[in-house]
Amino acid sequence: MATVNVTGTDIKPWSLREGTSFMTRVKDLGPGAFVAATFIGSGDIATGGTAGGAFGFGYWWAYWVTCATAWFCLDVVSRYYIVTGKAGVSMFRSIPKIGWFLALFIGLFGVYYGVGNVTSQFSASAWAVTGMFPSLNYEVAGGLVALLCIVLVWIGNYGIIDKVMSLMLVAIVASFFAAAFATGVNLADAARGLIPAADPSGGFSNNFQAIAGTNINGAAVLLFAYTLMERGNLPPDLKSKARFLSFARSNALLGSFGAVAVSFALLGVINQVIYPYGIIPRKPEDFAILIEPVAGPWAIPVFSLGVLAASLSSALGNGMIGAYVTCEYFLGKPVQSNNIHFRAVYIVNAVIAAAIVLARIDPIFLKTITSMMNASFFGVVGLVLAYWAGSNKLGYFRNGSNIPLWALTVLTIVVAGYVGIFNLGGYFGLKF
Amino acid sequence: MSLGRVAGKRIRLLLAILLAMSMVFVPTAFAGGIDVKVGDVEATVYAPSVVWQATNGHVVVKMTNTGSKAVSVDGLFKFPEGKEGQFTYGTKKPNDAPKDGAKQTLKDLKPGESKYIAFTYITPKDNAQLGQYTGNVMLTVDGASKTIPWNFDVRTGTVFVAQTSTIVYMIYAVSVVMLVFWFVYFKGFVNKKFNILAGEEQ
Repeated sequence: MATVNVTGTDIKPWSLREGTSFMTRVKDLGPGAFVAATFIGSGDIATGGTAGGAFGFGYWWAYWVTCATAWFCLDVVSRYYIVTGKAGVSMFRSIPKIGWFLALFIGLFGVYYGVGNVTSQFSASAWAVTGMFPSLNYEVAGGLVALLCIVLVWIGNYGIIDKVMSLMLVAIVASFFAAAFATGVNLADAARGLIPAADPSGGFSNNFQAIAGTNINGAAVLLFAYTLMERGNLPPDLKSKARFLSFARSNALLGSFGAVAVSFALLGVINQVIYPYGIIPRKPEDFAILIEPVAGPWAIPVFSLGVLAASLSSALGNGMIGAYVTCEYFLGKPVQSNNIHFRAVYIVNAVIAAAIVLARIDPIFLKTITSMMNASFFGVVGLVLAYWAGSNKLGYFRNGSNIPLWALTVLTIVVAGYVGIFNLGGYFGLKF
Repeated sequence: MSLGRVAGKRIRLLLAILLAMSMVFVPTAFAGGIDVKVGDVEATVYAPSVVWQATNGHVVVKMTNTGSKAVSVDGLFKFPEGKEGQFTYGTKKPNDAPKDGAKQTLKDLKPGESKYIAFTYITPKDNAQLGQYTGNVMLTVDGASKTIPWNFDVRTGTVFVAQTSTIVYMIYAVSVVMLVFWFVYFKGFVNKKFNILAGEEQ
């Protein structure tokens, strides 16, 4: 049976000053880029379209709040990994008394991510490919995208996938910012969006749920520990653990607040070309059509490239977390991406997901469902992470008397409680 | 400090300046509208050059009054002549494309003021004929009129299945079935000791 290695319980939490320089942190942003590329998926486009179409930059504050929560969740996952050397499922299974139930929940969550979430990402990727190559059939595009992901995972080289994910993050940021620059960004509107204000369309609850579901992707949060683990450099002593945490935190910052940067570009576009006319985009093509008159015909392939990079990287990342979690749940120990069972789980799930793409479910609708599912899962994931944040079992890395960490713990409980009650309650017929 | 490092810093600085400048200048450099002047009103028509079947298109006209008195502007969007039946207009049914075109009026555009009118949800039907069409907008200001035509392509649209809650339940069902499948795979062939009720000791 596993035991939690209580590291440095006799040392006052956060008393060591083991930081690394800014440049060192920038140079070592691999796991953060991986997580950011997974976080930023087609959901950001769907959610941005709905929230931005209704209220322009009005919900930008919600992106900051939810991304702060996401950063904290990544931080807790890092701390748990540093202390115990373990990843996602263990955090749930080792909760006293209800651990088996939470583990089952997270097992279902893993399978859902491997199939349901990946379906929505394949579907959005297929649309993006047809946007760039209009003569290509939607189903063929979906098949090609699935095949590419399967081949990348089958190779089983984490280093290659890591590089592909970093490249796709660059493509996401570059293409959405290019679209934003072309349409022009109203900085005054962006600044006003930092102050919470009432949505005149009355859609606060739904929009906030969707933003939370997209930005605090419970799967990407758990993925972080596995990406750290893939590097295989868990430090042995407390000082180097503290240094490792500062490296992990920089990566968490990129992983979580990368979504804020991309939301700036997306909401910037929407604020200029969609919001003024009361249009709510309902299909992916709506975005291209609305941007093109203002930004020029080149906007369609450039924007499509952003959608492709966002959805393809999320198909890889979400599918991988599905495989990591499923394997850890059934094997009782985490595996790496070169493990045969990991590859089998990813590939079988991806084949099922690709088959569902043939049903031609609207990618935006599919993504809306996925965001709501993310929010439902986060209701549980967030509360479990808050439990660990406050637990003495994290030793030196527990919250202790650190007020900002406690403030973020409370924020996580509030956000997880709100989105969890709202979404999970819906399955039991509760209306809010 | 080595020359390479200095050059690297300069390149980074140059990139930062270019990025900052692009925030200011690129919007005008890439704006793809059609500019016209009608009376004292300067107008830019933003119209799509590509619309997919069963996908909404929108035409937006930005107007600025450069004169010294307030004016009213009438905008008339005309569907491609003789091909109105290929389109729908608006979101409320019946939404057949009007043969005489769709009208929008902008009243009391004050001197120096800029405002928009928009013709939204212009949608080729899912069986609309593919190819190039010509649409136009006629703007009338104090008796002076100008017609602005442009061409656009109607391309094959991706028709998706209806959005129903059945899809949501189907995805849940597939997930549960896959969980059972993986249970059989792991319990049966990989880890026979797996116990669903087992927690983890602290």
